[in-house]
Amino acid sequence: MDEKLTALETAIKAGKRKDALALTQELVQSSPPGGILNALISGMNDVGKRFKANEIFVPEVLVAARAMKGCLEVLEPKLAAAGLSPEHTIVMGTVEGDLHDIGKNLVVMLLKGANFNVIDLGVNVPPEKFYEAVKEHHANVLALSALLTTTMPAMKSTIEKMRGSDLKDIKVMVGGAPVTQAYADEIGADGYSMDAASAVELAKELVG
Amino acid sequence: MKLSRQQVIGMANSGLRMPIVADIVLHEQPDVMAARLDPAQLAQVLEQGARRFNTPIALPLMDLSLEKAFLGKALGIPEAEWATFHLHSLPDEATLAKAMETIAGPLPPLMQSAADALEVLGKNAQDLYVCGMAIGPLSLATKLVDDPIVSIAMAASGMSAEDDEDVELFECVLKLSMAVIERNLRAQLEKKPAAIFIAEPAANMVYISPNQMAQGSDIFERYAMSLNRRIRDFVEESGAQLFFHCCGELTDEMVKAFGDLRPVILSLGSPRKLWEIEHLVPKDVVLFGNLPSKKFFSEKEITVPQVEELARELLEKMKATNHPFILGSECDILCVPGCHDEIVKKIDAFIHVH
Repeated sequence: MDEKLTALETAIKAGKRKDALALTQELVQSSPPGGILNALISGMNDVGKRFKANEIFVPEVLVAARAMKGCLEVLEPKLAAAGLSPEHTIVMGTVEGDLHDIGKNLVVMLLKGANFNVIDLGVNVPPEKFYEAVKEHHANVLALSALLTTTMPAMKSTIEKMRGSDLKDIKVMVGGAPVTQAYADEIGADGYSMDAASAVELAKELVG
Repeated sequence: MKLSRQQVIGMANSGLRMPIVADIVLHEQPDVMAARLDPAQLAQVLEQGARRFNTPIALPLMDLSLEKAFLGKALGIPEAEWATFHLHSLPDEATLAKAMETIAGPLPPLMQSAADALEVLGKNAQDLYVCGMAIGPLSLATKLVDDPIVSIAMAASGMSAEDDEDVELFECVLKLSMAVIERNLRAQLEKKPAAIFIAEPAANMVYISPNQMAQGSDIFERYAMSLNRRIRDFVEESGAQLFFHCCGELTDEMVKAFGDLRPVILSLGSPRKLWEIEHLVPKDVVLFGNLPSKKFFSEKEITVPQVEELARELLEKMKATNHPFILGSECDILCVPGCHDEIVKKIDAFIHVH
């Protein structure tokens, strides 16, 4: 059984979707879902580390994440039945006026790989929609992405919307090419991440 | 007015500085959309940008959404979704045929106005070199599907359109992209611009894995460079020069491929230090850039003295390489709401630095 779990972890690291899916389908028949989940998370953790070390690049991360996504779809009913659903929920999106999604998608994939429940609102998300999603999903963290200098002010207006509401204590993390720690501080974000791999660590800190 | 490679090299050797300021000047107009839709007003905007900063080339407004909107229309997608739509499956033959028919027909108003403005500018400002623009085909294709990076990675791993439906879809949108870009460019080339600026920001290591390239994949050539060579060929056949831009993170191999395209100007973003990569680019390709203009909007991000220091460093180090170089911004300088004056202060700073 351990060999199969190791093979699953290896398949995730290599982004071999068909192999990973076949192994997951086999393993769910006989293995505890927590063990399978751990193998998936371990595989994605390794991918995140190698990405941070510049050994692999965005395409390899997304290919691995796609493999993991297919496995999670098979595993999720078993996890729910065993009471092992993700503990923390993050609402994420690219802010209003901004249509860029690569960075956001990368963070979403890595957060899912770290066993967060991620509600991905997509791109061009107005403050009101972020507010509604955080409320509906009882999110622990709100993650905002922007690629353009011209859309960064929408991060500020989204945070203002949250701080002026009944959800004022929501932890907000921000990131994206033009965003800096100074800007994050200026607009009252709780955290800033300069890259996707660090975003996972930041999210863990914020919910910790 | 025609522009030669030697003239651009001459501009570089004379110490030209050239910010891309159309968006800044545009946002000084009382009604931005009205200005864009009126070729005379748009031509004035482009002329003002060149005159104010004393550049002989009138650079265009860099709107990378026009071609996608045209494709949205051509594919029968509701107008409200043109900016955001993604194709999830291969369009049927009838839809594709209708799309190609629409692309061959009249241009959308913003695209037509941008083309007409080139003609107006050519007549009104005969001392300026007029420049048109389009997005690059790979960059447009990446905007048309949900997960372009994985599709490209699959293709790079050896999957063909027959093997994988995502690869098949991506190759289809790449063809559509090329068709709409060619249509846009040919409309501009009829107005006899001196140059065409191709912005291909997705031809970078976020979309294309350096590991896959190192393992021998031809994906960068197949999905990016071969199409841009086709563009270069018909641009040059029309008597215009090619300016090529990519502001993404690049490997040496990518920079070299851009140099081998032999644009007259190669514009790169700030992730690469120009003096470190100039040896990868032929000496008659003028390097342009690459001050971090995305930070100009705030004093907290970058100060005027810091801009001056970076400009001096670029000028000194590029001079030492003896590679023709024009100091400029790393992309078009976008007008961040409420930050116009701060941005202009920094443009002025690098324009006047010694």
